[in-house]
Amino acid sequence: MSEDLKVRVTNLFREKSRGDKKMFYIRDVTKWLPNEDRHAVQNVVKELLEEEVLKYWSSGSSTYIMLAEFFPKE
Amino acid sequence: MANSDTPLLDELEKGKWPSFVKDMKQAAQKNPMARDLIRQLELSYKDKIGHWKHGGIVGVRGYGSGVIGRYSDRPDLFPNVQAFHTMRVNHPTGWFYKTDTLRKLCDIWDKHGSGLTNMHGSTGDAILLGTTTNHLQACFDDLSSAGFDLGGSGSALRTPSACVGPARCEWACIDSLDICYDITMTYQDQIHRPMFPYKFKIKVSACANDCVSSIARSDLSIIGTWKDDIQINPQEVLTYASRINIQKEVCDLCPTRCMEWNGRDLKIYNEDCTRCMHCINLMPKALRPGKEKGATILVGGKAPIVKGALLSWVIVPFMKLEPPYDELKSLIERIQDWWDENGKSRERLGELITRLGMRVFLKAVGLQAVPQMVKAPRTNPYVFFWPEDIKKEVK
Amino acid sequence: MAKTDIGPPDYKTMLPPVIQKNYGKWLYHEILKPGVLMHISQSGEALYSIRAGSPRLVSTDHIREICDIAEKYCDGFLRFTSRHNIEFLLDDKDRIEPLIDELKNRGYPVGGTGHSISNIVHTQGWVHCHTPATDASGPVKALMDEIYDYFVTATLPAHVRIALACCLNMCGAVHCSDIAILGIHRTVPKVDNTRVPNVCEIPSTVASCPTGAIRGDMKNKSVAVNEEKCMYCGNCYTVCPAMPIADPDNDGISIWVGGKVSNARSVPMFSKLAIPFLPNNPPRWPEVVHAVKNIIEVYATHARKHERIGEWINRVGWERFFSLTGIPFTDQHIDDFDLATETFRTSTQFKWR
Repeated sequence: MSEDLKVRVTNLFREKSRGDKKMFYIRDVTKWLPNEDRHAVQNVVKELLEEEVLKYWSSGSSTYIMLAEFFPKE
Repeated sequence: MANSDTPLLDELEKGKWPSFVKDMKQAAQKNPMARDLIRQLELSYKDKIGHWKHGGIVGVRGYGSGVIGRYSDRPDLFPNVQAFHTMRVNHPTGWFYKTDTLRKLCDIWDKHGSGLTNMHGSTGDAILLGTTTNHLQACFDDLSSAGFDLGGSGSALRTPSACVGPARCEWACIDSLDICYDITMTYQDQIHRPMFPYKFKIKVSACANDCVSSIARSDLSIIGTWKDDIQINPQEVLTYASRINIQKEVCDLCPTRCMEWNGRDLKIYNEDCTRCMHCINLMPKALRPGKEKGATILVGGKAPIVKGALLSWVIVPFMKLEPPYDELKSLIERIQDWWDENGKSRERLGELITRLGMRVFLKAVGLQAVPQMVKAPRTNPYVFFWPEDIKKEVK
Repeated sequence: MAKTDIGPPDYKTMLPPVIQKNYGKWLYHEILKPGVLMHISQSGEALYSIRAGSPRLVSTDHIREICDIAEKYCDGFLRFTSRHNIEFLLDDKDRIEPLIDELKNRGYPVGGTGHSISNIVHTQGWVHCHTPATDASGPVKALMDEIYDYFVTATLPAHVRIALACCLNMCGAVHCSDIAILGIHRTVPKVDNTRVPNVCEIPSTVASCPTGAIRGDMKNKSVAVNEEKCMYCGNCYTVCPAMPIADPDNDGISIWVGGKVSNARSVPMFSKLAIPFLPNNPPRWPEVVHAVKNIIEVYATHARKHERIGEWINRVGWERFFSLTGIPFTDQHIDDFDLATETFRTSTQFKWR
């Protein structure tokens, strides 16, 4: 089941990152899939982070998640 | 000495209080990052403005927290602090250290960073102040093999901290150190992989003196207390009578005036005592907390931004706390789950309770409303009733 | 690959033998003299904690010096306090005086106990923060130089907790301090429309404003600030780097008094505004140092024993605080945020001065 959800989450990230906005709060991600269990979506996001498909970004106060390919180079 | 390039900061090397400038110069002699840091600080002293830019970084594999990204806004002048990230290292609970542990930390930091630290940061972590992006993973690897781990940052459970507790204080009503360490180890995933709407802070003080500012600074405050009578040692009370004015300094300052002193015997009406710690603070040999010990749980404490500062609110007057602290953890998890379900991004627990109402919060986490939760009942008449409590008239 | 999720070093492995033996069995403690605590256990054994002041920003070499001292006198056992002080933990009474002498020779102030002013808790400031309105280490050093004697003695009516935060984010939550020193901005952020679209998120920037002063500016794909409603807290800049707010000519420091964390005698209280603005005047912030010393000295001469600053002011009244300290009262002292009316005087009970 989580494989399917993983694919859907990854595609949603691609779709939502088409505009200027590349960084999303985890709450945005869970809201993209309102009738999925919140914890399931969060766990899938964690797996994608482990696999470095997604990456965390934080200035220290709050934390965003984004597709790895959009991670700002220094 | 040739004219220094930090004349303003040199001024702060003078004076009796130990000077942070001396430490910065000490590090600068050995480390180009520290040298550029002190020169950039001098520029700030001249311009009266900071020279750090916004920037995010998470350089440690498998974590999304514990590293604060910092970039200089004058890399042309200060190339060695172009990137100058901070690593938060989770401190031993109560900030107890053996020197070999501290020396290991210093050696690792000299190898990977600026050689400057903050002992300690606001959440309690040891702060390793400034290194470049490519050093982050290597530094973490060395820290981990030396027995250290990172603390929390961003929308995560931040590093819990505790007062000195039973390690050294006779007033400790709970094992604040063990509770804090147990919570830290139980929720490592929440600390390292941010998944909350915003930050969540837990601080544990073992009595109402609250030496780690738990009520003022944490989303979830755990304060040690007791239910039965204060233990009195009458001989010691008499000894104190020769040294302090018991009537004026103790009885008159008791917030509930629940003590009587007749020059020989001290009487405490424990049913009126609110366990504020004042009399115990003044006469530690004579008065001690009761035996039936536990904790008061409060929620919501935070600093001003965004909706204003809050002090934590009582939600559990008394909870027994025995390892492995299942009741406490179950409450913490119910609270976090409700906040995670309903909170907006960057909305703290206290702000969410204010927005949705304490009544809604209590029902969601399964807590009974009790008078100890309020200073006073509401004055406005805008009272909600639960629909299911209203009997539908059967026509 | 290094192990993750191992957590901090276990505090139990850091405790000196006398603590391991008497964990949870302490009977009482006494302050023998400033900076020297004696703890006696139920079995009669003693632990001594020697407290020394330290800057928060310390170099690794400085930490190694601390380790040298701790190895020489305390078998390598020490701790830090929640206010950046160092505590050397020893069980040998005869080593106390030699340790204190060595600390004094090396310039470590011994004290911070009892009715003293302990170390000032503070944030990063210009040293390492990206949204500061002032420095932190500098004003703290300048002030501690001037009130040094209050650290090494214990002569005040009660202990005084001072804290400094370099902006309203108040990392370290200075809002419950006897005296809080707070960096403030006084001018509106300058929106850079060219950068907002690619570095900021309009909805979260709009939502970041405590007074709702920010609204979307669709025409420029940016945001606009309603200058009447902006009180320069800088939170928009925290979430949107294209709204710089730092202003060297107008940023400065405000002073707050009467906060309290503990529940002893009276309930925890927020610090209240005493001085809305003092200029940033590095390197020694003379105006700030003078203002804080004045408050301390007026408190020291008028408060009763065991009265914290907030308790003293609640007893004598705020009008008396302003007349005794000579601090001017202005309309800035009167609240206009949520629940402001809770702070308005609703009784004829007041003193003429």
